[in-house]
Amino acid sequence: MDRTSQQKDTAELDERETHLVRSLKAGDSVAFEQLVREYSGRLLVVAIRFLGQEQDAQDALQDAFLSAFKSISKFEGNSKLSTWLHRIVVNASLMKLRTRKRKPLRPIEDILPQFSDSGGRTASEPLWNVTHDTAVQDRETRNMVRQSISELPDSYRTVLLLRDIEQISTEETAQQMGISIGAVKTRLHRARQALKTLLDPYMQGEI
Amino acid sequence: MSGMMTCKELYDFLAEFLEGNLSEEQMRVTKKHLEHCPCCKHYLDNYSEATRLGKSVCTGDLGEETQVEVPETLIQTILAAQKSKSE
Ligand SMILES: [Zn+2]
Repeated sequence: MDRTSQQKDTAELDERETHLVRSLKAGDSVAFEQLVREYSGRLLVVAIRFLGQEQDAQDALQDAFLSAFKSISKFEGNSKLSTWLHRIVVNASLMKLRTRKRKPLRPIEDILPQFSDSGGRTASEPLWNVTHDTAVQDRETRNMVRQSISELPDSYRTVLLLRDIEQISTEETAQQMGISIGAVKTRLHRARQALKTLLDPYMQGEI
Repeated sequence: MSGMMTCKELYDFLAEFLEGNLSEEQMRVTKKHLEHCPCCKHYLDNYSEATRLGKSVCTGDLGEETQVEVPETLIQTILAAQKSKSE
């Protein structure tokens, strides 16, 4: 696609979005249905990332849309509608996480490295034999990485998602989760370590 | 900290090391350990790659994987919830 037609497409999209927002602000229920149908697919992915393939993710999506419709008057168009909705579904997911107390499948300590009494490593550490590009291009690997993220305990996965994926600052993450800045840093580090451990067998070519 | 560092000690300092929050002396000892210990060096490389992969698979432009099929029943539930709220 050349540059001019790309710009034209963007302009058309912007116009469509402006029209949709205007109708939503007027309380148009047809526009609300359009919003739900258009954005549900990508927003549900975000909720599932935080909450897993569960009823909780669907509930968070519903909460997000209701909250978006309620606060659409505050949407000023400084960001794209999709970006605005994305933040709302992240917040709705965090709210759900706060109210559920799910016992992790296994404690984080089980997926952190082990050391001997003298401070040496108890297992060898081969370098992963897959390059980043090869890994990212392989659908199976991508699914494996996503699956591993979903296996992290809630409190660790949440920090990893907010910091590494959503690019939210340490300070804001601490505030959102009601924990200290130090705790955010520790959890992020452990979450990445645990993710690495979960990926080890796969990336070392054992699977 | 003495001149020698164990793998466990390096591990404990890793987060601070990656953030560049260590003192000059701690930094020097950590780097020295990494130069002489392939295990820790590999650990660090794999850790960085795991972090990078996590970001790529969740934020990359991966077409159809950034969307899921939403059950029609869920859409209807959301629309009904909105309707009952505005009535
Ligand atoms: Zn070492």
